[in-house]
Amino acid sequence: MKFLREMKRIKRLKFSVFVIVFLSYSVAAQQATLIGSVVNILVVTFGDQAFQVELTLVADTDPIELLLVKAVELTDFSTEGASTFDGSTLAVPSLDVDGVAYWANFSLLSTEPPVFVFVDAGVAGTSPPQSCTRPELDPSHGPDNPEIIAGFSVPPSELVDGGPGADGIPSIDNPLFTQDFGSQLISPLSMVIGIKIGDDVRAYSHTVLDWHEVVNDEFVIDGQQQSVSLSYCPLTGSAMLWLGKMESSDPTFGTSGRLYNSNLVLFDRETLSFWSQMLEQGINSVERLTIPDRLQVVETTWATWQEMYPQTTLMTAETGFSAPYGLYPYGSYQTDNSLLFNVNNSGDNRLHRKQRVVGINVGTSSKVYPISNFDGDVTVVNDTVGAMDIVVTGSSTQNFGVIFNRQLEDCTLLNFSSVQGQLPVIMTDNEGTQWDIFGTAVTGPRAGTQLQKTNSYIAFWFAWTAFFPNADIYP
Amino acid sequence: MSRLLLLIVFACLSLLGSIGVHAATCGCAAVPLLDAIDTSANQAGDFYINFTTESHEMNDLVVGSKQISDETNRRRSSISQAVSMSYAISDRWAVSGLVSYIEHSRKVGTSLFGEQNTSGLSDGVILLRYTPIYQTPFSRHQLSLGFGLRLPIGKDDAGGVLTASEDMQPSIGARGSIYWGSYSYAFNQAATIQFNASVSYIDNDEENDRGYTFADEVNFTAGLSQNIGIKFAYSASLRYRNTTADQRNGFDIPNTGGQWLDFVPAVQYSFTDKLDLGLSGRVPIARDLDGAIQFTTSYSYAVSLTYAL
Repeated sequence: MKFLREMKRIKRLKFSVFVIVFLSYSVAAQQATLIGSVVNILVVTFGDQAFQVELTLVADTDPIELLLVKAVELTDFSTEGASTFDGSTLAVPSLDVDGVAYWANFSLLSTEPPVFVFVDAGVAGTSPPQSCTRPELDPSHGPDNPEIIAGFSVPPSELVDGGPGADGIPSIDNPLFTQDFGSQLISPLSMVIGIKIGDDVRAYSHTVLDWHEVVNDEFVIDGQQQSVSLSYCPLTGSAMLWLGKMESSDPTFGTSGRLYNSNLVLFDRETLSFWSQMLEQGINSVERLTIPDRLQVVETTWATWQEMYPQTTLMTAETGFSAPYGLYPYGSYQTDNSLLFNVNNSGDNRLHRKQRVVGINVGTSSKVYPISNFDGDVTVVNDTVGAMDIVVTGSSTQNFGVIFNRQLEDCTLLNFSSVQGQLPVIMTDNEGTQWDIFGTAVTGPRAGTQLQKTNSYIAFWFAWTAFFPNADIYP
Repeated sequence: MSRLLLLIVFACLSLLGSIGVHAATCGCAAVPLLDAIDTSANQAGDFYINFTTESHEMNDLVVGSKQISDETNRRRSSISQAVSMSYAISDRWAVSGLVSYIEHSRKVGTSLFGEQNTSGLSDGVILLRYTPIYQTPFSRHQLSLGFGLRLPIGKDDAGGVLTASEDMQPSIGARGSIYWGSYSYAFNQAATIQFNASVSYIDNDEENDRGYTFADEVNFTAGLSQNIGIKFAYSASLRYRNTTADQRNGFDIPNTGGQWLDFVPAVQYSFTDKLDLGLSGRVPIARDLDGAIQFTTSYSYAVSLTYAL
């Protein structure tokens, strides 16, 4: 596009006089104009307010940055054709450059000083002139308006009693961690749930989680000590990390003794509401349909996790309970075709029931990626599910699978390819940025950027299709 | 395991036997109802009615054959009441029947949730017995064989809105077949000291409405009994129980099934020649349970009254 070409020329010529002459313009009502290195926007709405704004191009920046040099509040203005600012994105529907109208989007890069960064542009009329806003993530896995039966948002007849009773499988509420791994019952191929928050890296082995299913722990998040609850359901092979409510008198969770589709049903200790782990929402009482804040976990082998994060700590088996941690509680269940409890859609035999899949839900769309179908090396799949463009990364031998939104907040759509032998770096994008297994850009032009997490997790196939029977299977 | 086998062999070799004291009952899945069924009627026209109350505690947490601590302080108990009748159609044929009512409770001591309770009519049993050999002043042997049915006449959807687990249901919700045999030997003509043995096999081959099938089980009891005068009797027995795994939709349920060896003491007092009071108990001696871990019987005790009509 002409506008983009010109912007690139600006960079190449480092704001030569030629640029100033070349980019002369004509002003139209409400239009923004680019004159030399100055962008003048007649009306920018921000909430109920409106401003006339002036920005100047910052030399030697790539992507191009613009410094806000003037903002005069307007008392008499029209919003028709006006530019908009939503706090992060400045959307200019009509930017006149040499008599041609372009739409352009800029993203707020910093507030002190106020600097915007060029995101994308096009000829006005060929692309939506409105602000580029990435679709909001729908955090729900279930229907928005489920039928309520006896106070439950899932059929209570399907909330089966697992046998031990509420808290019969006791949560770990004071986990201990060690780096003396030799003293723990763990082997290189043991599966662990890995958490990395800042520089705090912890692993929780299935060996211990099989007997407790819930760990109530604490992390420093955004500078604050916060309660988190890690849940792992051995019957469905699914793990979640939920952020505790800061305002709650007791933000911890326990096991309710109930199962829905053979999957763990937790309860919160403040309201005693039940929560379906795989639906990731409260299912009765005051927390019905409440969706917890979820944090990213990585489930993989202990050897892979150690390779990625050698500084990791490991939750110990010193839990205060006498469970036989060396034993798996459910016999051959992990590999055979058995079901211990009745589940919905149990006749869906497209995959082996215990096939581990990493699945994603986007609105009403659902798709799974069998982990054993990934290559032994790191495999990357750029895909689209529902309205979301995603990147799926996994490895069959290293036994992991993660899914991120590959559209950035500035609407840039990235395409990824795999990176081998550099764990925890697993992929690189078409701009040259490298990303780790938690979706963080570690090197390259977007270093520090975080890919948006998705409604995705690993589970056994029978459980995924029990909850989401319309799921597609990759490829 | 070897310890268990040794104990079984010891039990057999030492010829300990059970007595006819009306013992424990339980409608729950883990304990055979046959303990409670009255088999007193042996001579034509005999008609007995029996009332038994049993309390059964299942709080032992066991890994294989080793009991471990349960830091959750879980308490699981059942109390059952059974009414049983037996009638001898002839000197060789008799029929026994039983109906029972049961209350289950479960509480995890460390939990914020309270005790969960279920109750209701439990399973029924009907047993047809044939006695080809019976004790007389001239014969010290008695042998009875029986076939019966376990009938799901009770409630198997207890728990209210949220149905309770299978082991908390009053009834198992499916029919089973019962094969039963009993043998007694009197060491003296007055039959005041006897060796008693019984064996039963319950074939639970039907699924309930939730696709659940309780395990098949074998029980073998052997012991000695002695009458002291005409009013008092006591016995000491060993009981061996072996079950397969429970199943759901044909798949074995982990952590079910195993072997148990229990000591079963009992006493009986006859108020009149028609009314007996019995007291019995059951405590585990050894067990070797399948899977990684199981909660199982800590002890049970029962009180029974038997009246001859």
